Amino acid sequence: MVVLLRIDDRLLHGQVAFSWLNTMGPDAIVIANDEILSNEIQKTAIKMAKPAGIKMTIRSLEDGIDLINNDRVKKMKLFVVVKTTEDALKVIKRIKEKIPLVNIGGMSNRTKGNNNIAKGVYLSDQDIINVKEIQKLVDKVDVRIVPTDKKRNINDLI
Amino acid sequence: MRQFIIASHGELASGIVSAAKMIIGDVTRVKSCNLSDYETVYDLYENVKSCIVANPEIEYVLMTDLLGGSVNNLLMQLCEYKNVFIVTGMNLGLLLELYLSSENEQTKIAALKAIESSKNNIRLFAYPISDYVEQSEQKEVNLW
Repeated sequence: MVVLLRIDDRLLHGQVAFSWLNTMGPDAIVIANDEILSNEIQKTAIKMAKPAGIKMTIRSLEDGIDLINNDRVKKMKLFVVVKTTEDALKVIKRIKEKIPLVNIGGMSNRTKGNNNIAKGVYLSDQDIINVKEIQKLVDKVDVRIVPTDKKRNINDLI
Repeated sequence: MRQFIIASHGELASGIVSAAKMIIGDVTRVKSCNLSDYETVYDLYENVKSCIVANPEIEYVLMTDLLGGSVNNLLMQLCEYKNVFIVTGMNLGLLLELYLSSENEQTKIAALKAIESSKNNIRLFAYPISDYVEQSEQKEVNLW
C-alpha cells in the first residue's frame, strides 16, 4: 500500500530520510528510477542515506511498479520516490491502487523547468501538464520540501 | 519538554541550525549561540545559564562544537543543574537525530544513542568505492 509518492530529483537524501520518514513512519522505501541502477556510486550514496531500521529497495521503474502491485507488499506502508513527473504518472497509471498523496519535493533543474512554482521547485511546461493529469488520478497533490512546510493548494501554484 | 541550545566558536552554531532547518523544517526548540555575537565567552555562558535557571522544568541539551574549547569548558559548569545535558563534538546528523528523538525516551538515553550513531556516520569514501563500503551495506534486501 503506497502511503506517499514523492517526486524528487535527488531521490533519497537528508530531507527525505530525516523529515518525511520521521513523519510518515513507512515500513519500506521504494526508489523507482532507471538511471540510478547503472550508477554504482549514486546507488551507494542512497543506501547510506537510508536510516537504520527501515527497509529499502532500489528498482527500475518497471520493477518498482511490479513490486508495488505484488500482493506481498499489500499490507506494508510504502514510501515511493521517483525522479520525474513522467515517472510518477507511469507509476500512478500502472498500479492497481489509488494513491492518497503525491508530494512534489525538490525539482532543481532550472534549465529544463522554466516555471518556478515554489522555492527549489522548477517545473517544465510538460511537468505542469503531467501534474494536472496526476491530480485527476490521485486523492491529493501537494508541494512541500519538508513536512512542516505550509500546505499550499497546487492549483494556486501551477 | 526538551530544548536545545547550540553553542560554538565563530558562527557555526547558527550555521548548523540553518542547515537543520533546511532538512527538517521545524526547529522551534533550538536556539543558537554564536561566540561571535558576544563580547566574551563569559557573556555567552551567562546568557545560557540564565535560560536554564529560569526554566528548571525544561530539560536542556547543550551542544558544543569542541571538546576542550572555551565554550564547552565554561558551559560544563552548568552540569551542576539537573536539567542540563551537554553533548560536545556536535555535527548536523547528531543534532537532527537527537532533535527528532522521542521525548518519551530519557534524554540521557536518547543522547547516548544519537552520539553512537553519529560516530558511525563519520566515514571515508574514495576510489574504488567498494573498498570503503561494507558488503552488508551494499546488499539488496527483499521487502518481505
